Parts: sequence; C-alpha cells; structure tokens
Amino acid sequence: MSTPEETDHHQVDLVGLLAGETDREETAQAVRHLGTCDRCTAELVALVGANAALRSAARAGHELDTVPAVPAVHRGEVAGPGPGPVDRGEALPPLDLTSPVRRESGRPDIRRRVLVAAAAVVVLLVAVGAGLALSHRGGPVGTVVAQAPLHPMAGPPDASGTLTAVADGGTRQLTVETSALADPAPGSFYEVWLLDPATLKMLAVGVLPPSGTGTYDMGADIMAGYSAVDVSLQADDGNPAHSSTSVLRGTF
Amino acid sequence: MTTPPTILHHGASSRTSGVTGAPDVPVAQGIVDGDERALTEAYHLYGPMVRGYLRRFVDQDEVDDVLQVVFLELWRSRERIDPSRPFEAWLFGIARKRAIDQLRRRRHGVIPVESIRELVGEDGDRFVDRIAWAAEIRVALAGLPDEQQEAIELSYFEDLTQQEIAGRLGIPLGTVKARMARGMRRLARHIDGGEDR
Repeated sequence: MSTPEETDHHQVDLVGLLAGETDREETAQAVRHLGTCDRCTAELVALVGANAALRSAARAGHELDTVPAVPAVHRGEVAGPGPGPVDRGEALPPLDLTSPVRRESGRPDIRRRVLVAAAAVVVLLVAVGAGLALSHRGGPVGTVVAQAPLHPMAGPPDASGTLTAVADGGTRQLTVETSALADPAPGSFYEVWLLDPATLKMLAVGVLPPSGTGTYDMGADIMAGYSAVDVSLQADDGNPAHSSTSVLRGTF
Repeated sequence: MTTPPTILHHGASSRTSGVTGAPDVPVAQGIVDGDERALTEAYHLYGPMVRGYLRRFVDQDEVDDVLQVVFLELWRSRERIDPSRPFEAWLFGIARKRAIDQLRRRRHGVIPVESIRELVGEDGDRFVDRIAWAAEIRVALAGLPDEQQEAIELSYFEDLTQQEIAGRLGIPLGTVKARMARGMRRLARHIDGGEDR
C-alpha cells in the first residue's frame, strides 16, 4: 500500500469521493493524501462547490420536472431545442410578443377560452354519461349531484380525469376515473383526496386502484364540506399526510 | 461544441446560440442592448424552468400565457436589468410576481398551502433564489463540451454511478472519471468567477 506522500495526484478520485463511489481502500488513500497535499485539497474545495451546485440544480430540476433529456439529445435520437434545460416531453410554445395587450392581461385568448369551454362541455357530458352508466351498471340508483373534470398538475400534461358523485339517499358514491397517469413507481401509489379551498381542510378518500378508476362511498354531510378533488402521488412510507405532489385536481 | 457561459456576478449567461444562430453574445447583455435574438435565446434557455416554476402556482391552462407575459415583461424591463446581479434572479423575480398576480386573480379552485409558502414571504424568497441558482447552473452546464455535460448530467440528474455511465455510453470507466473531473473543474471555476469572463 502506498503512503500518502507516494500517492500521485491523479490516483485520487476526488469526483468519485464526492459521489460516494470510492471503496474503503480508495477512500482511505484519498483522505491520507488530502492530509498532506495542498494542491489536491484546494481542488477538492473547488469541486465541493461544483458538487453542491449540481446537487441543488438536480433537486430543483426534479421539483420542477425539468431535468435534461441527456441521452436523447446527445445521441441525436430526437431533435431537441438545443442544449440547456429541457422540459421532458413537452416543447415550449413559440415566443409570441405580438399581442402585448392580451399577454399583459395574463388571461387566455378568446380561441383558448372557446376551446376550454368546449372541453368543459365534453367533460360534463362524459361525466353525466358516466353517472348514467353507473346507474345502468347496477351502481347506486340516484342523481348525479356533482361532477368535475380533473386537470393535470405535476405529472404527465395529457393526464386527465373526472369525478362523478351520485346521490343514494344520505350516501354519496364518488367515482374517480383517470387516464394517461403514469404507473406509480414501486413503493408509491395514487391517492384520492377531497379539499375545502376555504380552510384547506383535506380528507383522504382512498387509494386509487391500478386500473385508474376508483369508487368511494361517504356520507352526504361529509362530502358537503368539500368542493375540490385531488389525486396525489404518495410514497408507501406510512406517512398518512398529503405528499404535496398533486397529479390531478378539479373543483365541483 | 458550445462555449462556456458567463454566469454569476455579472449575470449575463453567455453561450453560443444553437437556436438562433446568433453570435456568441452574453444573453442578458444582448437583451439589455435590445437584441431580440438574445430574447429568443433566453426563452429557449430558461423557458422550461420558468414554466416549471409557474406550474407550481398557476392554473395549468394559463401557464403558457403567463410564460409569455414573463418574457414580454423581461423584454420591456430590459433597461432596468442590473448587470451586477445574476440575470436569472431578475428573470425569476418577474416570474414570481406574475405568479402572485395569477393567484390573486383566482376566483375558484384550490390554493394549496404549500404553494403560498413557496411563493410569498421569506420561504418564497428562498425558493425563487434556489430555482434561479439552479437555472444558472443548468445554463453553465449546457455550456460545457458535450461529452463532459453528458457524463455530469447522467450522474447528477439521472443518478447513475460512474460505472453505470461507462456502461450506458460504452466507454471506459477512466474516461467517465476524466470527463466528469474536467467538467466539474470548469464548473467550479465558473462558480468562483474565474474563468471565461
């Protein structure tokens, strides 16, 4: 085994050391060398800064779901927008500075409003149809008392869903139907919640089955205290609280 | 190969423009000078992270509109950009204000506690600073030679070990170590404000 003095600078894997990828012998060798080598110590100090900055950037990228599409861009498999932060799977809309009045308002344009309205009508029809279908399938015979389209939050931008609530006397049967949600990673699951926007009170309704459709019963008085539905991605870690990662949400 | 960007104290992230074909002019300086190509370049560089930030606070169907508002305001406020501060702090400061505007406009729906916490007050300050810093690093990283950028991104953003990176790229482990070390040294010099200024 070499002494610290005998260890060449190039034998010390500082990047591997920072990443925790050196074995016992390599780690001990590096530590011994660093204790005697000002040059490598100075480099380690610099690399600590780069390491911290990269870890911070990676964490933020995961939080914002904007991590680099590394392999695809570099291997030329897709025509990306060039190097730099890449929003996975979703291209930026063209930069449009031609309608400053509209843009300054920060509100959707008329065409978008029409499209949104049309989509809402379609979703409403689907929700009503779902309610009727429930009745025909032997579900609780009753009236659809609430429905809501679910909009994507974190997660796939094309994910969607509906909430349909059917009254059966004093019971409300909630059916949450989702589509295009990614399969949860091992050790995680989707959970359905009801929310009260005024007080931010939350009620865990239940786990969303792997099929993407879940049905839940509750008392009408309980449901009356809420006006929004949320689907979260939860870690199966025993923590019953909302994970703060909402994938779908809608108001009814 | 791209040219390493200028970052940090002077705030003007600089890079060769692969999108616009513009010469290698610091993006922020280009915007201050009224160069619309620099604005387009900034949009492609920072737009994804700005949109990711806005998504946390703004209704999904309004995010892209607010994104456009942010860059319009960036353009209109270009004469007030302080070159002594990081450009990213200015840009994300605009994004934060517009996100707050959007939350105020909401008449319906849920405003989660965590959204408020991440947007306003000291927590909001810290969060936006952290995101701006991350954007700065991401742009600096994008300015590294491709092979260095690739190795570092696979390590830090994909959580691959050096051995796994070697397998993924079909290159020797020693090459991975060398690429990462070179790239991180360059990033370290950027952070220290010493290189490519």
